[in-house]
Amino acid sequence: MNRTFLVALSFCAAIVIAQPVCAQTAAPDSKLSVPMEALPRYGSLVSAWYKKPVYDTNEKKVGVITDMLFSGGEVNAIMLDVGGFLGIGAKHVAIPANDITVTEKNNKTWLTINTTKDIVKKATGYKYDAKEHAWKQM
Amino acid sequence: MLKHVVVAASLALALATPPALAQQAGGETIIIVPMEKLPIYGSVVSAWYKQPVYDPNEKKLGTIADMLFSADGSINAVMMNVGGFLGLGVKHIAVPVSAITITQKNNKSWLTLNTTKDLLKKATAYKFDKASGLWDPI
Repeated sequence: MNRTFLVALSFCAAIVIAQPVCAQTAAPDSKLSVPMEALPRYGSLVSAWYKKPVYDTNEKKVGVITDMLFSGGEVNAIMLDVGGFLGIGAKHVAIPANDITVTEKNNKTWLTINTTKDIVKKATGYKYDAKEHAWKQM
Repeated sequence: MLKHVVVAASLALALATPPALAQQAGGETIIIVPMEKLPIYGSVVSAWYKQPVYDPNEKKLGTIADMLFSADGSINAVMMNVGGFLGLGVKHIAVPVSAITITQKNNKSWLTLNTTKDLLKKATAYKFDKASGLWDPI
């Protein structure tokens, strides 16, 4: 009996992976979540990105990742703290996730973005609004 | 002249929206321009990473230890440290990102996973391998 229950749930988990949103049916009697029996394929880990420095192609630090925005299970922007310019406090810019390259250096993750200081300086700045839990344009 | 570079780069960025374009094998690199506005997003990694996850009865199940994502930016699994809670031994399990619901509580994010201690106990355990930088089943 227990076995049937588990099989049914695993099946649901498979559907959930394919199409986000499935799990959050508004009804409170929603389905129980069963942890995954095997890991899906993945290219990288949030732990290798979050709060980590990002360098340009000349190994000069461009900034530090302070957040990653996601929607329906898709990371669609990386918030990069590029420091203060012209005496103003920290400035964050937004970068598409696939524009940052992850490699290894001295057995550690190394993140690279091919951009210039000038481009970053001119880019739209964002700031985290703690009250609204959202990133806002500066 | 600089204007030209920026315009060309913005065009490249627009083209880059279908994933994987940024890293072309040919070595022809594209200069990355940060985003002029944020894409639509449902949540931010900072509200998930290292944060506690509760069951529907507000019992703590564990904390998020990592999130796995693919080159195209899709998050495929959330790694949870369920050790030390509910009398379980120290262990990491994987759940689909869509299985976790995010709400607000006392003006802070609140993550809920509808599962049971029994399911967590039976779940496949994973361990982070520092040498390979990967999560492996134990």
